[in-house]
Amino acid sequence: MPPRELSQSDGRVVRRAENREAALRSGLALFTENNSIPSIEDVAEKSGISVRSLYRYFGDASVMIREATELLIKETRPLALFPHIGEGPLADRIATLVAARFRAFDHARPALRATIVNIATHPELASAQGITRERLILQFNLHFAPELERLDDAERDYVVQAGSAVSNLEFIDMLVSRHQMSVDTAQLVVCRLLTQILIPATA
Amino acid sequence: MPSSEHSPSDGRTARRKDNRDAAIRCVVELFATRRLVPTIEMVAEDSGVSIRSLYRYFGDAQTMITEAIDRLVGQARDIGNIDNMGEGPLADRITALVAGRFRAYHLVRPVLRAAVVNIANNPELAASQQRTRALLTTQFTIQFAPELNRLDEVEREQTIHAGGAVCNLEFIDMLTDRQLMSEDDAQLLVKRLMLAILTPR
Repeated sequence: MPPRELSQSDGRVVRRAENREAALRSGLALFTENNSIPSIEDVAEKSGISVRSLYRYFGDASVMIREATELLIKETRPLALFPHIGEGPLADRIATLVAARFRAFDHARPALRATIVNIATHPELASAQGITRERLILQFNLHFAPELERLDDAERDYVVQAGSAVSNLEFIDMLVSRHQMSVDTAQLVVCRLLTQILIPATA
Repeated sequence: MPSSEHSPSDGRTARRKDNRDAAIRCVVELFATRRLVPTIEMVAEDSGVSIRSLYRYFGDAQTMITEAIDRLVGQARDIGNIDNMGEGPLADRITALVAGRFRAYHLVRPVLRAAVVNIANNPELAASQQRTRALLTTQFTIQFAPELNRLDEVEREQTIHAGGAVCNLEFIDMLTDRQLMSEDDAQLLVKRLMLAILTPR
């Protein structure tokens, strides 16, 4: 049977998908440039896609913003992954995890502010962020299993909560953007914090 | 000219102050219900103060929003004050500072998110936030001067950064709102972290 050639409607579907993604990426770029939430008209100008098409794809600006934010969250997730979880000396494991978190931060950073703003005004976005947080907590549990296994439940809870809090992207953003630390200093600070959390102080 | 105890302008002044207060309280309530960019119209409707008066008092919505945030931040600063800074055992000093921060957090929680949202359009807000941050850092360095003074310059700076970050209001907000910790658990966590950061190894 001869391979089916793309019909005119298939072409439209593909073009629509490409345009939608182009629109979302333009939206993300505008977050960065203007540090604010773009309108449909802003995205039309940036992406070259007509206002009419954008309204047809998304319905309204808030849907477009939500999808752009979700796209960023989904793309950032894999960057925090690393191989050989749980293997090696503690100091190396801390360095590996922190490096991965900073890689993810580097990717998400330009749009992080806008993401936080969007989540404040669109609480339903919080679920996408929540999934990321859950995965990072799981990663933390696996990576530091040797240390966590020795602890009783209450201690373990503290170490996981505290460790997750100081190694997540929001905290890194606090250090770099709000406290104006250099990225290198921030990375050192986070490594130190994790060391202090994971190695109990000798009495 | 005969002195009048209650001239019309006294009454007007008092009314203006009451109306301003009502408007500001209304803005804060709107923040608390996630209406983070209140308009003059919204505040007029909820506070009973006329649109014309609101424009006269504030000029525009962003000025009104800034004043609401500033007022709450001012109250939070007072409530976060600590006595006898730098004196007493480390554990007690940590407890006092962290308790103050949580008291302040309680007060400003509604405006924290509003500040994030409005800051892009409002340079006044950004400046005000910087001032608050500077104040909090100063409080930290005074409260923990005994520990900080033993450190070399690099260590001292890192300790101020790390310690400052884990006792600031945004971190508390992250723990309670995003990590869904109870305030009690969050307070314990922050105190332990502070102890770890400030105790030399």
